[in-house]
Amino acid sequence: MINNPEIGTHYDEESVLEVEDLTVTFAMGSPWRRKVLVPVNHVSFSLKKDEALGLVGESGSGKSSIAKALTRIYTPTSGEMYFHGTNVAFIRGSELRKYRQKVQMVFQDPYSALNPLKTVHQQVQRPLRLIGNTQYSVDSLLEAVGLSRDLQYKLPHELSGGQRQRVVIARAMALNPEIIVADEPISMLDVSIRASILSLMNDLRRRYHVGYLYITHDLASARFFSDRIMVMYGGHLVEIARSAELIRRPFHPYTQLLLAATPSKRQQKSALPQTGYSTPNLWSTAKGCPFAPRCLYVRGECTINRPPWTWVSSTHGVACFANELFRQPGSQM
Amino acid sequence: MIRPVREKFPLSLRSLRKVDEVKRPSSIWSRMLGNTKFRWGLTIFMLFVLMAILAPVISPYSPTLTSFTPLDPPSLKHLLGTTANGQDVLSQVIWGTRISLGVGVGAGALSIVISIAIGLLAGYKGGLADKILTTVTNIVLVIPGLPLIIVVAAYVRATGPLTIALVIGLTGWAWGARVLRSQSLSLASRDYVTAAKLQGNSDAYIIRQEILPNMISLIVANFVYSVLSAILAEAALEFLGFGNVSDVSWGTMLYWANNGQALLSGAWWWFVPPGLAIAMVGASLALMNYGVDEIANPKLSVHRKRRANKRS
Repeated sequence: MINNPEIGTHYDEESVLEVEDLTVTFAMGSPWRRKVLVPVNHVSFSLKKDEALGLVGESGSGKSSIAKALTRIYTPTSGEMYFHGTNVAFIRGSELRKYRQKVQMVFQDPYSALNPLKTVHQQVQRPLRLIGNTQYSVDSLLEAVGLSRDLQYKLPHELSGGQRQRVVIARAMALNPEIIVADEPISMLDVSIRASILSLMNDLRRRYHVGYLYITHDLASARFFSDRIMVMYGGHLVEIARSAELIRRPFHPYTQLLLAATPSKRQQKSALPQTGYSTPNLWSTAKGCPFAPRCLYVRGECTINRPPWTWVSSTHGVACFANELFRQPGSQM
Repeated sequence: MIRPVREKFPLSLRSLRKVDEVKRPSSIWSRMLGNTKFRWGLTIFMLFVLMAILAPVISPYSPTLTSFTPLDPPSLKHLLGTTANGQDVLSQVIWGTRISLGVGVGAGALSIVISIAIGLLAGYKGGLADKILTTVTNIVLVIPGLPLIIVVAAYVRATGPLTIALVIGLTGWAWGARVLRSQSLSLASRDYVTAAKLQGNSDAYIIRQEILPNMISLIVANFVYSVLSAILAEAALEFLGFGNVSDVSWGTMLYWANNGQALLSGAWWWFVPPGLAIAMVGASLALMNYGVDEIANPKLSVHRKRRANKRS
């Protein structure tokens, strides 16, 4: 059992969403040679009210699958997702519709996130109409995301990537959501406007009390934007901590590798702290820790058993056998 | 050929001027009318439509009147001559437009409606629905079209234009369904469709508002194609005598011309006009199809543009 003071109860005043043992699987191959892919493997975490939770990992680590499971585009294979104390992992019909309206999404590609044939006005007005939201108007939403109202009768192809992403955010805000799942919202934008989109999202968090699951592969932007950061590798949640703490004292060997790979003022001259470049094994037959083939601290049990989850402090948890790393924090950097 | 530098300057000025103009997106219809191939195709097709509508006004005689000299070659009295039964060929061609176009458009419309329903449902819903519908589509696809139509038409007793349109429409939807399925499969995975789902829109709304409008050019292309194949299938069926041979259409004209040994007696004016009419309508529809294709798939017209640039 996971010893988790944050997740122990199903209803916590502070938590908007509590995810327990979430597993998403895909059946691949033909029916007689079925292989099962596990992009999200028994992941537990919670999202507090108005919190920005970063989710960092490389391609194929299961970040986007978590996003799609939280918005219920995918139905989880097992596990629970408590939204204000109600398990929403397997709801259907009108319940699902109501839940989805509370958990909106901002997409990676602003070019495919807007219907090319509808004006900005139409795209933002539809959700307002749908829930009968009279609190906001298209004008006020566009203003809130920093767009001129002159843009409202334009079509998506007449807007820049940054403007489109703002329209996407306005459209999400129209439903008055409690959580916005932002799946790499800035990775396809020009570098010069990335920070402004992140500040906009931060601003909306303060003004409208919306929580974020901010998914990225970039530790630097996760640190800039989020209160806490989760690190995923091969479908496993490997570490979670407050942003500053995670950067200062990373415990998991993979987090350390990620940090070492981040460009910084200090020149990284030595080789990266890893033993190989293999990609994680996501098949359901995989055993042990997915990072074991690349890990400097690998030991026998790493390839046999799933690493235990340890809360080093009340807010800093890690899934690793090499507990000597936790006692001499940061020394491996 | 090296383009003179001078030419670049006015080009950039022109593009600067464009910034001030309010750029209205050209709608799909205006883009289609701007396409030369489509315009030509539409013009020819509309001429035939006019001919069908105005048949009572413009045809010189009744198409079923048999009181003329048989096998009279074209003359001022009979611009396209007469048949072996003593009917006026021109009047028959004009009146025949009605059935030929009517059956073609009707069958095309029926098959595109079935294609849209099956293709969109399979592509959008996915899963088991997709598997079942794709299997059905593939089965219909591998059945050879014309032989099936012949078998069905031979078994149905009351063969009139309506039956033939129904038979063609109900057998000709498979290819369109397949094309529309793959397109809606691709559209259904776009982020804006996901966003529409997250907003809590109904499936009907998403299909109607988010997916269908984005594949209208493909639908038009498929409609034009199915009208074309329906007209050809209808002519083929009637030529083979599976229609009601007392109806006047291009297909039955060819049937009677064949029965009346028009080829042997050298009565070219009997079989060339209906054949030419079928070919012209076919060409007009094919032109429209190419035009729509170029708009839906801009890569096709790149080559042409490049050639036009070279010329200037």
